[in-house]
Amino acid sequence: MIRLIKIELLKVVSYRAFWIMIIFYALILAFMIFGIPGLLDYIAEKTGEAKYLRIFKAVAFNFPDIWQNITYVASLRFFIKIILGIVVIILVTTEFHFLTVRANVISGYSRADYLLGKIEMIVLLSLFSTVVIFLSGLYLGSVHSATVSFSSVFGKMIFLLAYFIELISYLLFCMFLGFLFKKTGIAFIAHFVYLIIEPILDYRLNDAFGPFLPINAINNIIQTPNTSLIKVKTDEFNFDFQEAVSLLDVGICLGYALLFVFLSYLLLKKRDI
Amino acid sequence: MDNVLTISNLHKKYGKIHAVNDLSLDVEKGSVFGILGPNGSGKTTTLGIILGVITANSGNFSWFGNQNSKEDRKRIGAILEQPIFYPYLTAEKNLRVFSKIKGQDFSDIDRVLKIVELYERKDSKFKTFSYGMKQRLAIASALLGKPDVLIFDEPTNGLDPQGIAEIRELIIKIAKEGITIILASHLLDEVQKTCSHVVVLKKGRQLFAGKVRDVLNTSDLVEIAAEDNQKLNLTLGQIDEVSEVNQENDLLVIKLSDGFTITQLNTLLIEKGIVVSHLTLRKRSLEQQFLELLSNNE
Repeated sequence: MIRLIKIELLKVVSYRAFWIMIIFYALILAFMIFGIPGLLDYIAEKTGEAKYLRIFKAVAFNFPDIWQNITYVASLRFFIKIILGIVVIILVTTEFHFLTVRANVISGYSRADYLLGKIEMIVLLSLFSTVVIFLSGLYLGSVHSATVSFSSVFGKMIFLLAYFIELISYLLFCMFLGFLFKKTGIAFIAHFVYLIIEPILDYRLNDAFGPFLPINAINNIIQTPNTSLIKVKTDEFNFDFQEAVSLLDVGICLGYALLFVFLSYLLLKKRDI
Repeated sequence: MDNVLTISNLHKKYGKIHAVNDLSLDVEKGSVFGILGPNGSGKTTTLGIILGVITANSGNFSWFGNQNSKEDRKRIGAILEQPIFYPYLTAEKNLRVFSKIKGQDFSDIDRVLKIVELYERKDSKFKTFSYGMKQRLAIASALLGKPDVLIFDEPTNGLDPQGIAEIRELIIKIAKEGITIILASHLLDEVQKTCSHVVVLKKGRQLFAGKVRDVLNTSDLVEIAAEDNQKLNLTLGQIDEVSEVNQENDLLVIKLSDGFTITQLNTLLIEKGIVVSHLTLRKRSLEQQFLELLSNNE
């Protein structure tokens, strides 16, 4: 296990494009998380609506709701996690482009080793992202929360785990596209086209099926937070907002994760490389 | 003699093309085994199969008497078709990746880089290398950890004459250390100069397998002419050691059986009252013999 991730890291140790994208991702993530409070202050100052925004800030960055709020934003399907998706697609497809996957197998990798190496890389990237969010959340929460207690900090921290699982599943989806198309450009296009197609499919499909579409299912783990901001319910506004992570959602998501791994393995196994 | 590699009844089809057709062969330990054939005869496909990157339609192969596994491949050093490395990594970092995959530490890297004379360039990125240097790095990578078998697929492809000479020298040097070598080439000369055993492939089929000196040692042709070629032709027909008499313009081209020299032939003809006006040995080039071998099995 450790050997495979070490090899994967050796491969990227001086891969500049990889590190630029990772740093770019981390910067945007940090900017997003730290920038929003500043942006709110700015708006407050300009509009003079300081009171409401201050309330919003206090609520959004309050322990423990902050965990759901920031993981929700970080996991939005058209948002920054796409950068990590691109990184994964590149890591998979460039090895086909340079034929290094072949050299890996010739030198003594089994196809399962090769796949496992890529999966471990995905886990590592997801862990990295989760840690960045955790540290940011810890800082922001302690600055903006009125009271900081053990239970308030760690309550809802399950959303970090949910985010970790969600990100892994999404990146496995990207990995699968990489194995399927082998060419970087085509895998990119397929990725974006699918992201656009799925909401259309969702709209056309019966409501019962929509949530089971892969990206929907993956994104469903962390839903739009309500987090005590608007706990009102009227006849027109009658939604149940997510308060906790549902095991069923996690199960469906993990089901997809396993499916992508299995399909990638089949592709590697059946094809000549 | 131990067999390092045994292949039996291997088949691989790409659509209608039968790239490898019922191939069986054994490679003895310590031999330099040539796989000879024109482009598209299935050499690389065969090597791809035995190296685990191409799946055969049917047939078996086994390394070192084991069932095919990744552990066997760790004992093999191979270059397939072209040097394959991570272009953005330096020579040394590339070799680190492949050392690790082979389950070795980094201690052998300096040694192999020195063998191929790339030690001074170990911190240069692979993409900055010339083709000859890339090929040499591929050999260095194949040599990592002193493998039991080395596989070279067209090792001198794309090299200049000096590079070709260097690579061949290197292969011969390695062979002397007792490492089994499998070398695929479309260059007869290359196989003849480096190999002890050879299998000749054409369109995926095996035409011949055996020792190099057997396959490439068919008897030479003799050109002969006399005042009266018709009489000569008749007389030659009576000599047992002469076979295949062909008329080529004013000359007769004949084949002598092994051990029968042209001096003996001349003496015999004089005894029979024929004085020849022309008698020369036509040395067939290896290339010609190779082409003949291929066309005979059309």
